[in-house]
Amino acid sequence: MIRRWSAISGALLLLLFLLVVYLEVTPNWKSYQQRFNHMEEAKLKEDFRRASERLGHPEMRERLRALQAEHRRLRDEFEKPETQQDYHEASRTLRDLEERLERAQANLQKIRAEYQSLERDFILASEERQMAQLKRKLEAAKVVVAQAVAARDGLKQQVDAQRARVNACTANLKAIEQQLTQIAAEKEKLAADLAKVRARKIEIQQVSLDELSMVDRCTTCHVGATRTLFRDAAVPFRAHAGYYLEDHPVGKFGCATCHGGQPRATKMRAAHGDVPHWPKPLIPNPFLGGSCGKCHREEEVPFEPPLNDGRKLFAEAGCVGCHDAEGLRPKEKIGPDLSRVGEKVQPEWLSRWLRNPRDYLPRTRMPNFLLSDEEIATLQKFLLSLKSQQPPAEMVAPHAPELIAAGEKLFRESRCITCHAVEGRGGTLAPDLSRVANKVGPGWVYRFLKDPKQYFPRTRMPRYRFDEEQLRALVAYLMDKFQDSEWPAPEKVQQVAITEADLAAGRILVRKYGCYGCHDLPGFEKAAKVGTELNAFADKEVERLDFGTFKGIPKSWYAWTRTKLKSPRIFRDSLKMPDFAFTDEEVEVLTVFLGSLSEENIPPGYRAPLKPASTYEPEGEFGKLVADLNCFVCHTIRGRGGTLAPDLSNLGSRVRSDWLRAFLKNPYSVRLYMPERMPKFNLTDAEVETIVSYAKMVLVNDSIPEKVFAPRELTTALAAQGRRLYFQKYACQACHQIGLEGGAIGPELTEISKRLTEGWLLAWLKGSQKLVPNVKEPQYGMSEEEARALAAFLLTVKKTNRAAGRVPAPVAPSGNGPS
Amino acid sequence: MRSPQNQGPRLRYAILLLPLLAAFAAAWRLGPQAQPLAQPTAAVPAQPPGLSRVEETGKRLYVAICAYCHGVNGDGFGLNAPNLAVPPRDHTDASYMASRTEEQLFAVIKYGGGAQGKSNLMPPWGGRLSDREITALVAYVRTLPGTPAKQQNMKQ
Repeated sequence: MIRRWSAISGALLLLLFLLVVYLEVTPNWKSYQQRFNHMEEAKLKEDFRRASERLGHPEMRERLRALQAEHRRLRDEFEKPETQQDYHEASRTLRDLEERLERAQANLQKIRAEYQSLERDFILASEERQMAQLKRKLEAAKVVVAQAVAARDGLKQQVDAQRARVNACTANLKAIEQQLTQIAAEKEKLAADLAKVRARKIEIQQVSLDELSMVDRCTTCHVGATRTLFRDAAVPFRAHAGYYLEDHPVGKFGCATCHGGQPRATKMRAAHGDVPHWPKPLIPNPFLGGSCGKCHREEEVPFEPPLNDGRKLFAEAGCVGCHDAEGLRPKEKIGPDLSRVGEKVQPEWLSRWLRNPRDYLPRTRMPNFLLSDEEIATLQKFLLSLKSQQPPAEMVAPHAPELIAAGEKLFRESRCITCHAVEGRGGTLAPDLSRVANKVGPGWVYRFLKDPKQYFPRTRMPRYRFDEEQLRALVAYLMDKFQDSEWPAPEKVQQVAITEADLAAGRILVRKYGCYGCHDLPGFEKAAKVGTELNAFADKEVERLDFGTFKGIPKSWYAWTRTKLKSPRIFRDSLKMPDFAFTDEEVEVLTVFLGSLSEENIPPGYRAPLKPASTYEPEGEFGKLVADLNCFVCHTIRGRGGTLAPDLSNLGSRVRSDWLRAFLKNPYSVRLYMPERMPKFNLTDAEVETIVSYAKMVLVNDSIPEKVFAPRELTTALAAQGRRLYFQKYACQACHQIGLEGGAIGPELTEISKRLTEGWLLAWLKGSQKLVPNVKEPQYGMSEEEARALAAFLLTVKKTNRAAGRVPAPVAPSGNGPS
Repeated sequence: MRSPQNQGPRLRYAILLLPLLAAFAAAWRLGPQAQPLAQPTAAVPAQPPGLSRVEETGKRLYVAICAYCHGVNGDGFGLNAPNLAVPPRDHTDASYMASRTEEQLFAVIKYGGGAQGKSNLMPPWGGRLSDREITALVAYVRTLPGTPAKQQNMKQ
């Protein structure tokens, strides 16, 4: 009996022992630290050996010895009594000679003055003999001075050479001695480091982050992360990539704040959060950008393109229409106002649109709601019922060819494709017009072009000041050009009978799918968003994600999120999220952004500050014009507006009034490569004057004067100096043209004096980034003198003969150049 | 106690102890051998093929700034290239790029071509771009030789 128990306990003991041995032999934090210390020790030893080698290198030693010997020899020689005597004697002679020279020069001056006065007299009286005599004296004095100078210089050279030889040798010696001291110091430091490494204890490394209420032990195994020693070693010995730790030291941020995982644990699986019920497993590398977004909530985060793209896409795709997400500024609804859509679209077009929007516009932001035929019919009827009291004046598009041709010209002149694309080419600010004649009728187009805000108060479409004739021509052109025979014909408008029951059913569908998230719809102004709120989406445990009946993916947050974005209804048939047809890249960047939507308790000191939104609202007549022309769609003023066109905050300080007047009447592009994008609004003289005077009164930077050169200051000499800077030192011709010469990236400069104020030009040359923060131009850091010379050249540059033949550049800035 | 029956089990215990000793000796000699960690096996994608975040940042800067002259594909055929007296460098030229060190590439971007004994048509970007941005540009430029973009281009 006893024997059996002894056998069993013996076997158990053995097993236990084997387990202990196994745990000791397999990698663990102690072994990582040991291994890292060995690596570091080996590296330091190697460096130490190399330093010693350099220090003790025979060649180095030999050179030092030779130099020391030479130095000694020279110093001895120099300090020998006879050399010293020579040296002192030479110095003394030099002093004497210098005194004599001074006297001789004074004498020469005297004779020269005498001679000059005599020369004057010689013309009046004629004392030839005395003249000749004096001239001889003068020549003799000149010779004396020349001799004295030569003697002085010779001697000086001698003395200097004597001194220089000793000095040079001393300098050489000092340099090599310094080099040796440096290597010795290096060696000492290496030895100290080595001692430190050897003395290093194998122990748990721990950072306590009180503010984050977190204890982080990751560097216990990831020994190399905070040390820049091994950039290419394997994890966990490798140094942390990039500059992240410079800005986010482990002592303040820890590791798990960004990487996730279980920072207290010291076993790999547990620390990486790869255990059941730990809510935050390690964040895979491609999605790490989401962590940046937890603190950098609004601005562009440098070096994190995926996060920035994801955040932008989240807003642009209209996700906020259905899902609340904190940190995103409330944007206006991304879809058009549907309050009067019944006046606008063709019934047949509408049903095809609802079936698959991308069928009509491949690039549309409207997702596919995968509606049933019944739902489509109901929604179509409901939407067609949305009309204002007065129906639009019906109108038949005239097919007159001259009218169509006039419309085409107007379409081009008005630069409609700055915002509208036609067959995929053109802007993305407004809908593609390729098949617009199949969608809307001529009557609606006429009324919309005449006054866009009358139909749709939030529209981005500016009100062009078209007259009746122009409107008719444009309508004729649009209706003729942009139709597709595969789509319902514009003339054939059938009537659809609508009952009260249809409307009730339609309202239920609108509420179900949340159409009002992106569109204005009467009666739904206060309806709540239909989607799940996403404020803490990143914190959601995988157990709380509904995988439904779908089995094809692993149970992880990332897999779920990506699958959901790619096929929104794959988990259950009853889901409502529409299909956005995101590409794989879009799914990736959206997943990164969604990973930033966390409600973790982040102390205020860790959050990047938010810039307050601009509340700039232009006042008076100018304000009305800005609203009517929708200037903010493309231009920014005082932090508000778009980035397609130049910032106008300092327009008045930037350009001259005459140029601005002419430009507004007939806009052009100052950049050769830029398409002409600024539309011609057909402004009246009074409207142009309103803009110019507002610009000159309000849109100014007080530190920039209109004039900086006095009339006489723009000299040819200064301009010539500027010309050299332009072509040689700064090679401005790489990007800018004068006449027809040079690159075409920056604005054309031939007529810059007519366009820019002197003050702006000078300030621009001194540092354009101070005026336009994200300007592309390189910053040269020119001095005031250089900038003035270059400005003088640019202000006085004339068209060369070659350039004179050229059509005056109808040209254009956009972007950020000096425009 | 010392009966012959009892000797059998004792011997067996001794034999049982032998592997114990052997294991102990092995552990003593081997000690813990650290091995680099494998990536966690959780169902997550590995780093996708393509550009790292820094390279991607560099690419955006390149397209925004450098591509005017050096071309979107980095082959030196940018829009502005025909206007330049000295043709811009072809960054897809593997043999030339291999002859440049990281420091040389960094310096020519930061201080301009003129300061590096090359054409001064290449401006100094040090005032416009931060050192980190220039580093990102260098990292991206390093990916250009032999990229699919180049092969496509050559086919065209």
